[in-house]
Amino acid sequence: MNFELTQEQQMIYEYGENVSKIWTREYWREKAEKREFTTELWEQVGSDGFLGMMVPEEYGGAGLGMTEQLLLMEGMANVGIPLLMMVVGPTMTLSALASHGSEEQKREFLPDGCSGKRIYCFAITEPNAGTNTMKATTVAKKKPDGRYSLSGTKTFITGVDVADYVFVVARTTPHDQVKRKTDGFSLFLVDLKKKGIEKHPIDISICLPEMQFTLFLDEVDVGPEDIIGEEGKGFEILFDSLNPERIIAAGMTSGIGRYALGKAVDYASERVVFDGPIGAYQGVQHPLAMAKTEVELASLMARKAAWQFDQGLPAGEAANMAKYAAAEAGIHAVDAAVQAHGGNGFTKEYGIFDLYPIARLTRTAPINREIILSYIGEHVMGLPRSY
Amino acid sequence: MNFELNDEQQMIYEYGKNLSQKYDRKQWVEHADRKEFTVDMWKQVGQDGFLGMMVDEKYGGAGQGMQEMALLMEGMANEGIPLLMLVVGPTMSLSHISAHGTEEQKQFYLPDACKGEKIFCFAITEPNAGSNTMKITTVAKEKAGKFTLNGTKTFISGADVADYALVVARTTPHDQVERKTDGFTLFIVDMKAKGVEKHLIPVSVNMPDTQWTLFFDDVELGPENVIGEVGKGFELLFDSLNPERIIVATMCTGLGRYALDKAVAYASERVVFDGPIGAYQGVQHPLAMAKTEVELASLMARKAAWCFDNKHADEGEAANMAKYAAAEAAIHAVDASVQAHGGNGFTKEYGIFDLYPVVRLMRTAPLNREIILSYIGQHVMGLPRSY
Repeated sequence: MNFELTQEQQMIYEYGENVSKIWTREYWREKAEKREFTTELWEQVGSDGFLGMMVPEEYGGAGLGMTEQLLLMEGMANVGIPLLMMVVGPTMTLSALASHGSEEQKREFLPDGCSGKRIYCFAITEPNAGTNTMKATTVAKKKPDGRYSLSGTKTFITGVDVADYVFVVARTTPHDQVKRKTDGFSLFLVDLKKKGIEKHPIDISICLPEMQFTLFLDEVDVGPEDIIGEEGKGFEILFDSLNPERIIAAGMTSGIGRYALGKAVDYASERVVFDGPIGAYQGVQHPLAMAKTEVELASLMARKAAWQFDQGLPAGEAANMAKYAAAEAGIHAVDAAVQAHGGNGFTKEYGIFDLYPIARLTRTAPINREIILSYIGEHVMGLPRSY
Repeated sequence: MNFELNDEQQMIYEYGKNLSQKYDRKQWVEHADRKEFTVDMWKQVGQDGFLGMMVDEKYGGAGQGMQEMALLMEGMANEGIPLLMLVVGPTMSLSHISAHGTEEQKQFYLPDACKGEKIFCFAITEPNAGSNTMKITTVAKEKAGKFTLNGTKTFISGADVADYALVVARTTPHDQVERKTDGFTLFIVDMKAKGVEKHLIPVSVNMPDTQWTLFFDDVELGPENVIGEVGKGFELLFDSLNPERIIVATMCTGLGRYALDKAVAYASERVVFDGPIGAYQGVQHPLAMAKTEVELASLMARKAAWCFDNKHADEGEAANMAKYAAAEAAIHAVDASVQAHGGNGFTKEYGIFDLYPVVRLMRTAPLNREIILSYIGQHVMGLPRSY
């Protein structure tokens, strides 16, 4: 065993602290409130070489792994500037492209993705296919000329407005004509400027620089050159990005938890109500210490999951546990920080309650707590399937 | 980072499984109900070479570290056969003698202790000095190179089966020292020495190891009984506080796993309405939550043990977090398991509720949850001291 980060990993983990000196929490928050993407920050991360973290160096990436991707996200979230687009772009799309794209696709799509000039979003969820991906009805119908006609509706797609391309999960064989229910899915990389694509924003109660959209695909023309991996074998590739999504979501939430607790420590060490600072009251201090422990436990499990993923080991147990535990830890951390701040916890000036919506979101998204517990019950513990 | 056990560690972790073929949970419970030490099992562990886990091979030990010690305990607790004497003997006493004893002391005490032929207990707590060790009043008065020991120690595990006690005493009264941690000395006291008396403390927790109050009345000691330097005992003590927390953490995570395994077996078989009750999310999810808590705490304990072996600065943080989290996890695991078992959870036949007293004890002992949270608040987070 070895629990130490390498020097390079340590540097990546601390990157958030450095970049937040230019692109501060305040900047992030103003953008979030205007629902405007943090383009400057995104481009900065790109020019510093970290958008292509998991992309080989020959395509403009850093040639590193999930561990470094996690540390980058966690370090940025630690200082209150998490980027949701890091999840759907670099972690899910670029890494899938790098692992499964053709040589041509990699040359065409990766260098600009790594520099931040092209932005990618990821479309899997549908109005009637949330947690149960098998029910996806978006179809790419093969035409006599070998091309496809892509039709369907995707929803809760992050950052469609700023993205240039979308990674679309679609059926190329209807589900009643496949042997295994996971057969017949294909992955298409689709130019968002194509004819037949429309997007509608979904008004949500959480201020983020990234917006949510419903995407309508109406007979969009795509070709074999747009398929990532093999036709009909998309599900195997998808599986590769589900654990990274959980791992990086865990990194994001544990970072937000640390940010909230850091604020609470500052406040509670200064604030005097009776005699001495309120942080010396165990009623204030212990809930903060409990949340701190939860955050560090989840963060450590996320590192284990990332390490397993990079080693090619099964990472499902650790990734699911980390995602579940981190969301709970983040929520508890924000709540304890709000409580320690008293009325000030609810002011815009201190901005503590403002952390709650995003922390709470991660109990539901990208995958809800209950399906994770069912995964742990069924696949880790060996209990019977519950749904 | 590297989260994998090496082959030897894996073997040590699995030792409990092998040992339990001969000395099973049933036997452990019978001993616990009679409050009788598991002598045969203890000697078996000695014979198999694991009592001296942290002792140099030269003195009959295995020459391993805290990681292996923790894995040994966790593997045994996984099977429901944890030994409290492993905490006070091999983890706290033998490692001290091995690290700080004179050549003569090592040769005299260690080989027999590694075989299980000499048993050590550890005496620090006093009726008026619990979490606050500074207040201890047991005194060893020096006269012409000899010492006379007087005082009372309480909640001493296994004083009845122990041949020796490692005793923490003041050699300089607390009003004559510069720093409050000065003036403590560690003595090896023969339990058969004149002036040593012990009274049983009946406790509500059935274990093979019983609790005692020790009375020292003019017990005569010589320089050969001193471990380390006179007056510098506190520095040595500090060496064993984190190991104690780490090994207790692994005892809890092991017992938590044992309780959950039982619940999985039961809930997968038990049919009340249609199909096994483990398929009900109301039953399954609390078990999955507890499982996650157990694995999070176990991972943190491994990190803490690694930090101890590598003298890494995160040792205190990780050891305290692991102990706190593991006790909570084990309590939740036993509770979820009891609930999954219904009425059977309270029967002696299933023995699930019987796990509760031991795990609940670990929220309080060897160090209570609140003092750990205060440590995390003050020393990890930087909040003001709260007591």
